[in-house]
Amino acid sequence: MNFRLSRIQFFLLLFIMQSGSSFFSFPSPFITAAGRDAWLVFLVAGVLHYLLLLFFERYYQRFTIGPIVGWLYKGYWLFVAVSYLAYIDYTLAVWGFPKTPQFIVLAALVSVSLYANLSRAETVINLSVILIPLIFIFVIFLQFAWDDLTWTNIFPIGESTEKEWLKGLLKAQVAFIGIELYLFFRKHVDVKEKIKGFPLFVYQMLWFSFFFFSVMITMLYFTLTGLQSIPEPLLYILKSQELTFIERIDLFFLYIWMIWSIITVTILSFSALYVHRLHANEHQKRDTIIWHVLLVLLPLFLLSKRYVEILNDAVIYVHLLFSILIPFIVIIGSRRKKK
Amino acid sequence: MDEVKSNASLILYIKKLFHDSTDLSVREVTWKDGVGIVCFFNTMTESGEVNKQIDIIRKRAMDGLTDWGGTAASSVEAFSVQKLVDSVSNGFVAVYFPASNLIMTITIPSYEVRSTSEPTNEFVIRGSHEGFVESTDKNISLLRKHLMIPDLVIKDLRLGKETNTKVTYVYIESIADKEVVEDVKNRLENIDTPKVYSIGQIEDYLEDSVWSPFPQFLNTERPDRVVANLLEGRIAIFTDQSPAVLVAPVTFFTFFESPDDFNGRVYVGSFFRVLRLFCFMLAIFLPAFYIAVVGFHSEILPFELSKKVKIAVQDIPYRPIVEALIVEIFIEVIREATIRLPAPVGPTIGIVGGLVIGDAIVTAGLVSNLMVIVVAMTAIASYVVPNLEMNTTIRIIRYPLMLAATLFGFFGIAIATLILFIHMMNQSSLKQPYLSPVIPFDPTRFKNIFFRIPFYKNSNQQQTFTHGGNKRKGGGKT
Repeated sequence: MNFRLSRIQFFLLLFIMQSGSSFFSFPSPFITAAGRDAWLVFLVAGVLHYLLLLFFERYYQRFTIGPIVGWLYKGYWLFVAVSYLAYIDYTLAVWGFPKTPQFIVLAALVSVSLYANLSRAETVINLSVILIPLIFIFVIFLQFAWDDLTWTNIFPIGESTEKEWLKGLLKAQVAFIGIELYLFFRKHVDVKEKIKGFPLFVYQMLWFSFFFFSVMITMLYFTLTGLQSIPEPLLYILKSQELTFIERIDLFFLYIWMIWSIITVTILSFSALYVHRLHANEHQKRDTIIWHVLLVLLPLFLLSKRYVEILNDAVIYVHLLFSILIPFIVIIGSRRKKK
Repeated sequence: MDEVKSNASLILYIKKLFHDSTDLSVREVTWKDGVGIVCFFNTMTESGEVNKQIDIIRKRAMDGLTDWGGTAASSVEAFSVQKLVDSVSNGFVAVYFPASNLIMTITIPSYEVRSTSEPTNEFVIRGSHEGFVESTDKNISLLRKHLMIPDLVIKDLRLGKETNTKVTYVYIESIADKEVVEDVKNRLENIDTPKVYSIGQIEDYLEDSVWSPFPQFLNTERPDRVVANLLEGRIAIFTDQSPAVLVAPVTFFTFFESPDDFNGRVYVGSFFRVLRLFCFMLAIFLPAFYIAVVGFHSEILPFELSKKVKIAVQDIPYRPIVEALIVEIFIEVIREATIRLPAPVGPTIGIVGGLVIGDAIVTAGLVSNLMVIVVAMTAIASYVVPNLEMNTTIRIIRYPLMLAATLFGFFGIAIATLILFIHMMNQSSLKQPYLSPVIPFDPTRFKNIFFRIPFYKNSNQQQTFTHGGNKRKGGGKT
């Protein structure tokens, strides 16, 4: 695949991938795990995220993968995509289509990714643009909860235990998922456009502000005990808003989140097919179709609350392996080879 | 012509070539060293002028000028039957000299062409009220009046063996991209059909994706609009058969610009441009949204409104999609009838159809009054777009969205919107991205979409789908 990215395209792709499916569900388990100091834990997580980005920026050229590592990443992205799709489908079954056969809903979801991935690479790369106005609308509507926020909810600080800090840092990894795409697509960024330094810091701050905002608004709106029974606190906040022109604003955002997730799955599929084509460039159309058939079939086995929860927990550990451990091994390995 | 033995039989032969058409004039005239056979269609030529021109040229020949046939209106070359047929068919006067086997062509055209008037489907409030007519020559003269520059290039070619249609493409040499000009030329030359009778037919052959509902060429009858587009490096294609001109390469957002934007105040022009884009969204999503709300998500409405909606639809015997289709098709029928009927009767049909039958349909309980409001608002919104092609596209693409809303509610709308968006991203106009600046994403270009920027600054159109692919930097360099 031959394409070139501007740094804005690159960062947008990365941001959508990282925020993709998790932003609604991220605050609840994270705050529950980290306790009252969750916002401080996320500050530390933000620093770790920046350090990781700096590391990737410094060594991305050394991240060259062979077919075996390529297959591992394809498997990882398939796992992430399937877990996202299972989660979306499960949520849709609860909220919207309890009687519709699940394979129809899944096929409709996956059809978007199939169409985009059968198109030119630039289509997937720029697909996220549709989300930009929706993100702004999302943030604006959350502001309506301003009057209901209790600022004392975040105090006193320093109450969380060491264990809670560690668990919190682990749960914060949900916001990191997809960061490994940096290593794959960084080399496609226009060489004339600077990434190092200020632009990377700006991206870091955007990512951080978005997630920190969602953590803060959740903490300020809910008490710690109240939060434990709310799986999607941001949706709940939106649902609670009393607007004169609309009764259930949360329903809109449920579908906006769905669009967001579909685009994330599309980017994941694109990444997997991109890696696949690095080593097997024939039968592009056939491989794309096979990948998407898998995306329809595999989630069908995981459509229950238990499986969805297991997948959501497991994805963090798998992410640590593929976003941190394997990149470290590959980069260090290629450094030794060079010597 | 070897079998031709005498001038009389030669005249008969030429008449036979044109199947004894009654408007064909074939006459013998005396010349310096023999005779000349004058041949022309008197319906395409100024007959009174023919004798005058022939007299002038004959005098030049008698005076012994070497290049006696080369005047401002005539030229001489070696004879061939094909040359004779082509010249006469194209409206020239052909004079054949059997003794020297030469043919002289004289340009004295005379076509019935209506006078210019403002295009009825592209009204503007301020600005030029001229419009193109069914004559390329007259249209080019209108262009030349706006662009008195040597860089304005006019190129002709003939298409269709059976129709011999003149097609003209126009561009500004110093601004247009040479690759795109070459591409247009190749595409026109490769049109392989014996009959070319409409501009829409040519558009079919030139488009990158003929099956897309989205127009990839801007159709306009306004000289000022063509001039503005030529100055942005685009190419215009004219035919003698239509006042409509094809302009390309264009982007989706080009269809939402109007000459009025640039003739009014900056804020006013910008406001109406944003309003048109809003109306585009309204026109394609409103009926689908209504169907989704009534069929799936009535809980999103405030209680009072929800109650009114329920009261309005409870006695309707059909599902919302059937209800919507009844009203939508009814409006399309009224529109179609209004166009075809004579001008004095058209508005009557509008009143009878829209008010009388519309009211009767609601009273009879076939559709709800809310659905009538939704469809009427949609129809009005679709007509805000200042281009007929995009207008019809909007009317077509809302049906799949309505179907998606019927099947899955908001979920269906979301999926259909994404598919529509991907489709638009895949489109191109003369191989250049149709949805630029969304693809490739370039936020710096967005201001030109939403705002009518003062102080015109030439900006190049995005040429490739990938970032950084712009090769043209003004001056027609590739």
